Amino acid sequence: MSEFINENPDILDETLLPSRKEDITNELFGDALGKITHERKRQLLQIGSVDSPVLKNIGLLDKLLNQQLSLDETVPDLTDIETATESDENTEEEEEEDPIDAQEIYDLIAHISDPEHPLTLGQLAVVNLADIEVHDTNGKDKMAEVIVRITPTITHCSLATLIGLGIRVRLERSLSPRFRITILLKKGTHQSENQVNKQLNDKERVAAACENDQLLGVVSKMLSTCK
Amino acid sequence: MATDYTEDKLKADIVSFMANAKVNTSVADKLANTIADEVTRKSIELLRIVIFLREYLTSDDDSTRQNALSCLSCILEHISPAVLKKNDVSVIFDFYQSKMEDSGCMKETLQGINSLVLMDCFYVSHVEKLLKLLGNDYQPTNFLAATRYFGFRIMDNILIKFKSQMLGNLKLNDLYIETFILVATGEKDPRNLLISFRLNSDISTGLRNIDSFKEELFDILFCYFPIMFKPPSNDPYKITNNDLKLALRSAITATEKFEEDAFGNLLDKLAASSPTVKNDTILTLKACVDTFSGTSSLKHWLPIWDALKFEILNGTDPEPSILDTAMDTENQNSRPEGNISNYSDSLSIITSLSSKLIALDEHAFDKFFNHIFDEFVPNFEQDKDLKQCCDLLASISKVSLQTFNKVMKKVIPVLFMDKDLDASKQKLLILNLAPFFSAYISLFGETGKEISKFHAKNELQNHKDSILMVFSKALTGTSKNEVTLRTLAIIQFTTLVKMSGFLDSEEIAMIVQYFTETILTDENKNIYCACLEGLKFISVFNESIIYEVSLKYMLHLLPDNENMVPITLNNTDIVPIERVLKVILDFTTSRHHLVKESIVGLASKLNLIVMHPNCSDYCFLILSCLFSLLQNNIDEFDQNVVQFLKESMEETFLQNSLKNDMIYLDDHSLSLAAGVLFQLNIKSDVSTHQSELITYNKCFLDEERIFDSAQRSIVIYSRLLAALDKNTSFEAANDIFSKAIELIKNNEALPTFESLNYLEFLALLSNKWVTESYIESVLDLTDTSIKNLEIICWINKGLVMKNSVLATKLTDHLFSLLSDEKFGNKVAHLFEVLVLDLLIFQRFKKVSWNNNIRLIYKQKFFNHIAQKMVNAFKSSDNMTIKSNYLTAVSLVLKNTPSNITISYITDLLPLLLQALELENIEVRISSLETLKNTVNQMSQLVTEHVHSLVPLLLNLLVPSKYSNVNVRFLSLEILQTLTTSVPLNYLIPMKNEIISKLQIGLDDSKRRVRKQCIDTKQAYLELGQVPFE
Repeated sequence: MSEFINENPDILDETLLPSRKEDITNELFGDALGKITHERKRQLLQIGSVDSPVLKNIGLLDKLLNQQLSLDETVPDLTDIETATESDENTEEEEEEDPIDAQEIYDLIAHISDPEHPLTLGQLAVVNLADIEVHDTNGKDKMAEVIVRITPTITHCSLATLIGLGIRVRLERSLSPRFRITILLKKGTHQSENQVNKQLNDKERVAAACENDQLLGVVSKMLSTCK
Repeated sequence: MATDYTEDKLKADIVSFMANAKVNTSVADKLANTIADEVTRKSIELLRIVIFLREYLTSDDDSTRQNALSCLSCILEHISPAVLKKNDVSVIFDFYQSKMEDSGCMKETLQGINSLVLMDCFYVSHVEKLLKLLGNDYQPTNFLAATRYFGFRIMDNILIKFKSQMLGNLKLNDLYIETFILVATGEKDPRNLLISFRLNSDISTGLRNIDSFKEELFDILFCYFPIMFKPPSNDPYKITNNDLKLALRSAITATEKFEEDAFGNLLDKLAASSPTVKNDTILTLKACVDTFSGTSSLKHWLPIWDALKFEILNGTDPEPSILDTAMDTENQNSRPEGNISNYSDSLSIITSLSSKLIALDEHAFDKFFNHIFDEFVPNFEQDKDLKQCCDLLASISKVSLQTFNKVMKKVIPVLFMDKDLDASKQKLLILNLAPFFSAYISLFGETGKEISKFHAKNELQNHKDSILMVFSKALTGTSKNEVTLRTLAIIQFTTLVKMSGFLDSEEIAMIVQYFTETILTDENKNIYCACLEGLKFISVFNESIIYEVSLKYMLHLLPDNENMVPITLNNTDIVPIERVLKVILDFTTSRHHLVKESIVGLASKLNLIVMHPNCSDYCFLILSCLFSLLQNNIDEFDQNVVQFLKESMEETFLQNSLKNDMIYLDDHSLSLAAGVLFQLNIKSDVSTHQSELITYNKCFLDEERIFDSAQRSIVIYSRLLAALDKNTSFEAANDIFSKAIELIKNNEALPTFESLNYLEFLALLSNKWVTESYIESVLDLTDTSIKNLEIICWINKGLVMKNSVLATKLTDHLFSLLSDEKFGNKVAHLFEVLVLDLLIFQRFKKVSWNNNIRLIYKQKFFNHIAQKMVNAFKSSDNMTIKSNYLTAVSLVLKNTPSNITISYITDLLPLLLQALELENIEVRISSLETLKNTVNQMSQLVTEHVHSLVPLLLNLLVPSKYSNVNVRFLSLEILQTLTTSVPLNYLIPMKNEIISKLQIGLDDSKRRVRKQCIDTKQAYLELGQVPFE
């Protein structure tokens, strides 16, 4: 690859970046709607928006029916009847776990700006969904790991370390400390792959870099486009 | 009267004038007017005035002389033109002539002469003398702008008065022009320039022998080009840069005699780097082309084209991306005023040239067109700058049918040269065709607007089939991933329909079919929107096609029973029922076409579906869709539509709802069905309401007997009645009111659905028909059973909404029960009912009869209870009771608009903070939402509580039974908002603690919470950071 290509990198359109398939039930918020039967909600959302009158009406009906139920309970409960009766079913239904997956990591880092181009790492295909690994199966109290492999736009890209640092800072800020973050260059994409990899995953050097105000300023600027 | 004006008085006036001349001009002007009146009335001679002024006129003091001369000039200005005799004029003219040497008084002298020119007895002989005088003794550059102004006025008045003489006298004509050139040279003042430009064009269009002076006349114009003028802040004349620009432009284009100079000089100026200058030049060029004759265009088109080529081929007008246009085709507004677009203006010059040349001579046009076209052939071969080429060729074509055909004949074959098209080439081809479609529209009009008769014979028509083929292939023959290409095809299909007379109805039907199939099978949002807009546009003029091809088809696709699911299209694509319904719904919003047809179609579909068992979900969907169709469009309906719908579906629909268990036994479906019936009646003819009531009573009271035992059908009865006129006489109201109360009270095992709807029915009756006194007599306030409390509460709802006096009493009663440990908690929940917005109490445009709802009832209610709640809360020591007040307040707050509650926030804030600790999700959410609004609107109120608020919010982040997703999410949102609304010095000390506590949220089980937590944390990390750059 020549110098020339770095100046005119291939650019992916923002809308074509991989994204999570929108789960419409996830849009369900607003507590008035919290109590409609799940299936009915899903049906209604497929024909209209969250604030459509019909959805509001059904939501209201369910809410009032629930109120009736709770008022009819004869035993007075000093804490709160309504939540007591509901929370059992609700917690199960609503607190369904969303696992941290590769797409989530991708969404976190794909919008970081490239330090050279007015483009994001996702658009430049520096980070790719397929090159992100997440190992988190052991529950919240166990260690987990994220591995990100980046692809520099050219093999002698001098900014690979800076990009790596940006990704690391973003992930460290956004993930729980139980995650171990490893950032590597994709095999065969850089002349000095080993040195860069070493530098990116050396705790001391990363910490030192973050002490440098000027460097941190550059990183902050890169992160400012994150969504 | 005339004799009243004595010499003494005259003297007094003159002295007074001179005193005021430079100080108070309005007084001076008035005085001059008085004296002039006397002169006109002949009570005093002008000569006397001159004599009286003599000693001042010869004074050594400049200022005195100026005042004296000004006095004379001002008087002259006001004298009517007929008064002065030939002799007077000559004398005074000679006098002024002598004054010309006095440079200190030049302004007054010119002012006087100017008035003199207007006198009836100022003759041609004087003019010649005057012009020579100006030519020899007047050096405009030596004087101020105000003085020069009169120089221009003189020239102006001479031209107006003596134009015909000048045309007859070549010498005078030339003399005038020479003098004008002298007077106008070196002018800088905007007001004078406006006159100068106007005179210049009057001269060049009105006088003779211009050829000998055209260069000088042009020079005193073009030396100002491009004009740049910024009015001073205290500008008295309010002349704008644009006024000057336009005046100069019209002067330059005034005569074709300037053409050589104009084109030459303007083309030089095109090289300017400033876009504004360039734009001015382009517009002036266009004005030249437009006003000068075709011959001049013929002479100059080549250099113009050569000069513009660069501008056009490097055209960089920001274009909205094609996907944006798909999203809002309706919002496409023309570029705002003041925005310059050199690209499109350059193109418009080409259009002007084309129009001039074709009008002059066909061969001339051919030469012009062929020259340009030949230059572009290589571009077409190499696909280079094609957008610009096509824009340009389209600009040439859009002049007349003839030009259009000539251009099309050459362009179309070149465009379609390549037979084997891949996706990107197809995209290019479609994009390149677009400018020609716009040209077509500007030539032959848009569908629905006036139709041009020529469209039948145009050349584009001959290629219609290949165009349609390309588009169809792009839309139907490519993979679904080609979003841009497919969107483009849809948009251009819509444009084709827009082109008046281009497509016949069969072709439109084909497009509608494509759109319908695409919208049903494609997942992409852009494509969905583009199709929807296309269908909506077509429906404006071709409603019947949409009805036949699209709506009927979609209704047909909907299966009659659940066994026929799923629907497949073309044997490959599976279309969910929901999607079909969504399209039908979305299609009718905003343009309100085919609503009636959709409703009737769906209603008859429902009749088929209810015949089959196991379709309750499907039934529910259809009912939701019907309900939404009515709800979204009811404001647009007039009585005829409503009547039509009611007649065509009410009867069967009512029977289906009552008799069919699939609807009758499903809470949601039955409510929706009742809602549909409510909406069918809400706008029906009021005069029929009385008879309707009788019919309904017969059905529900006599047949269904809904007050003898509890029936689910109460919901239908209640909503039907909710739609009727409140003035309808309803004798049974009191009776069934009592019966309903009995039913609720005495029926221990009343199912919730029935119970709720009987209660709602009570609210309706208390609002519309039952009197306060009757209610008071029926209610038993001493009974504190839950059933009775509910009854009181719901009845009170109807009363609160009409601001009844009794409502205050009932509300106070309920309020007092909040302090009861046993059932206070339940009462607290009941408070929400009072402010809930129910369907039966909905208000509609142009419907005033259906209920008694005061617009500000919530405000009144809130004012009534808010302070009471706060006080009661403060004075209570019991935590349980405190929590009752908190619950009631937060539930009421949730349903009250924030503009009403905001004035109580100061008092309520401590309560809200405590409510965050209450173990009840709903209360927590409600107070979080109120807090969020407060932080957004009146952050200063929150600021003082921030030290207690932040730890509370942080505690809510720990997931628990009472901190569900919503609670955690809202807490994080508020924490983030605090960073922008609370002063830094409050937050900085807490920054580190907040950041470390936020760690919990990063590992939340819900993705949405994690995302918000990351954003919140980022906001705190950046807190107080100096923004980079």
